[in-house]
Amino acid sequence: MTESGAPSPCEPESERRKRRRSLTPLLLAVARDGNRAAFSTLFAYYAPKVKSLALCMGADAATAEEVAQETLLTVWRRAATFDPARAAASTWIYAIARNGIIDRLRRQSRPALRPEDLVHQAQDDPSPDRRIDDERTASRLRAELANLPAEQAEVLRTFYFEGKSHGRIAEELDLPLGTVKSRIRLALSRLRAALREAP
Amino acid sequence: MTVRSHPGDELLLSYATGGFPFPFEVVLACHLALCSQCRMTASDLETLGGTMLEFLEDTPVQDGALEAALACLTEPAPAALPPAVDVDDPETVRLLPAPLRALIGRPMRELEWIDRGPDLSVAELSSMAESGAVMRLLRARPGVVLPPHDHGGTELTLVLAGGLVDETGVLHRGDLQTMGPGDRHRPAAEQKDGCIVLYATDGELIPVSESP
Repeated sequence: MTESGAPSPCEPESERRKRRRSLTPLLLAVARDGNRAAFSTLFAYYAPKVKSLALCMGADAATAEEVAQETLLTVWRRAATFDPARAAASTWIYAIARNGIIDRLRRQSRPALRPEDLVHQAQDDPSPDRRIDDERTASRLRAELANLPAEQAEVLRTFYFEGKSHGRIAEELDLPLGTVKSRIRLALSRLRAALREAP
Repeated sequence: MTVRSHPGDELLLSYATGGFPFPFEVVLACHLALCSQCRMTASDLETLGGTMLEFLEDTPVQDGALEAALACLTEPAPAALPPAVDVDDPETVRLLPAPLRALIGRPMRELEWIDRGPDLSVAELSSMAESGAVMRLLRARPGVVLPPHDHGGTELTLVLAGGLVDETGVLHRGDLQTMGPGDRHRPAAEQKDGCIVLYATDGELIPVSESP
């Protein structure tokens, strides 16, 4: 967050929602046909967002630019492993972006452990398949996010856009840990309801 | 067996958003591998991440970035990632969740186990991790009692086999215990089977004279 109060790339744009693009068909076109036009559309939409995320999480401008590039190249290379029955396209791309940024910031490449991989790996305890309705779930989620009380939205933004642990976020927001926990719990219970709602 | 002790929302959120040091990620990934309930929560938090990303304002990329990316595209894109090579050792496969097997890449008996007394041994995994937090496997014979202690930082403990007993109850495979400064306990290995646990911490143990 900037201290000057100037608009920061971390601010949500709840009031001016962009027309949502249908990501899944684009990603599937990349996977099935190596479609460069579909890739270009994904790149135009996501590279600037991934760059923002990397900047918020502490990357410098040159690194953020590289990570945005690498993320979209990873999307291309791994597109065939995307399974629309198991994750929304936006979820899948978010996970790749976050992992790429973390790996860069830590300067350490590590084994596959995070949910992007968990979603696609055989589990010791396989859960029943859960179909995620990309478009409807996302639109319910966006509506709930826009309606969250400001202090809950702030906590969520800090988690997602700055990539810090709950302890450090409590310090940064100058809040007791219990307050951070309760805001998370309240926000997530509303958002989970939006995720679970029958289409 | 049903997992009964889970990480709280704030831990799963820190994990899902990339806020934890690597050792904590490993412990949580191992819990997720054993717990479909938390896996579903983690999956929800990723879905939320995908939506949050759409709310993030753009930062323009450099001119020519798309053209540079297009020039890098390999054709055709590979159909699938090569399958991860798993450890081919029945004991290791039975006891260690997949993320931990992927990390150590060998049978668990080939780790460097260091005896800490006749009934307790520890394998240090921190050398595989970044600084800032340590991660260890601990194996205790039945009935071993650890000295009472407080915690200088956050400690995540995942039971992989047997049972871990302390003042808060008994934990079994898949159960995750979270301890922090001010949390005192005197953990012990269950009488019947002993225990194997994976734990990660970013602080030191602080010996205390009495458990609560």
